[in-house]
Amino acid sequence: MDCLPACGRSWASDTEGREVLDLDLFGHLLGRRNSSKAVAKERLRLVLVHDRSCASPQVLENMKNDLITVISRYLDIEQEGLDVSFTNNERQVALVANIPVKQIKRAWE
Amino acid sequence: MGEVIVITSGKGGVGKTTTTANLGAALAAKGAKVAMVDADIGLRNLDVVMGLENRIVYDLVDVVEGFCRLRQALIRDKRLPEMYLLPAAQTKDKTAVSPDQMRVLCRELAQEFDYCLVDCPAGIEQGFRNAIAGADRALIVATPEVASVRDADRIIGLLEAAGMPQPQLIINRVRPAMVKRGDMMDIADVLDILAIGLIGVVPDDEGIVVSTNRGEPASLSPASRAGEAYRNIARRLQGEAVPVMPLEAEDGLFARLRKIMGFGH
Repeated sequence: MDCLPACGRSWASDTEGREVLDLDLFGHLLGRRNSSKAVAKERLRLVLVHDRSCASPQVLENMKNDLITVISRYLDIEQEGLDVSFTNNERQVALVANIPVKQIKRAWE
Repeated sequence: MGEVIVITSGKGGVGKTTTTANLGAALAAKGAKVAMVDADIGLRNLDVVMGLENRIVYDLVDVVEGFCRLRQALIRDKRLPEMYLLPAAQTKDKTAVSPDQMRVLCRELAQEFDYCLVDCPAGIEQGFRNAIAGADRALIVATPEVASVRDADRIIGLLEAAGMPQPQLIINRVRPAMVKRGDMMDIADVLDILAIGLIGVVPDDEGIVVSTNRGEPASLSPASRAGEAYRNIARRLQGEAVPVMPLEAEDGLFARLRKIMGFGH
């Protein structure tokens, strides 16, 4: 539970639930059913990425700080607005970083 | 020197106690000397599942606190030559025992028995830490459902952190008909996610409820499907290479009728 804020994301979101439901309805219209085991596996895959990384809540925070250091060399970024989280993208889990850019540094600077 | 095996899962209600009772009985039926330890202090259940609830005099906490000798607390199951149960205390809680005390107890049992099976309580708190403290090896029970697999993953992590080498997985309550129509994760799916070794697959079997009602482990009745699966796991524990039995979907008239009527899912 204490790892939730660190991950900064609630994965049992309504949007995701609705998405799953839509897929299922679509499948019904086409005369086939989206297998619920595929949904189960997909959801498990994502939740386990969170669970495993949250086993050490520091990991995501460290990664975030490292990202800031590297990206700041090239871009002027808004550090407070930075969000790093996991998401499931089709068949695999992806790390998504949302980094607001204030301005791009000039090459000669 | 015998082997101490803890049966754990994280999530409750997935069949740890049933698994412990059936593996214990299957091992003892093959001639091994078996002791089963109910480590679920405050919520003892292994005694009723085994049908030994009326024979309890002393319990695990009495042994640990020195009120009686280990021999006095062990209940002998008369159905088999060498099968014993060490019941949990019902009036105390998990803090009545420490991991160090469990370690000592398990060592003592391992000297006397070929197998000591520890039935772990649900959860990841002290009861879990007590149950795994003296174990040489861990079996994780999981059903092919998201909550169970998720908790199993957590347990795998905790066992790893505790220095327990390579736990093995028992996939319990598999329903072949549901697997067939894509509504239940199959063996490959669960193994893909958890990435640990498999030691057995147990089909969902109404007979388990019946045998639990009677207090007779299903692995002792030759006709039971789940019992056969447990006997196979017992043989694998003893080092035999036994193939995982194929799970066939029920394909009777009733099942087909339901499908035609559109109640297939």
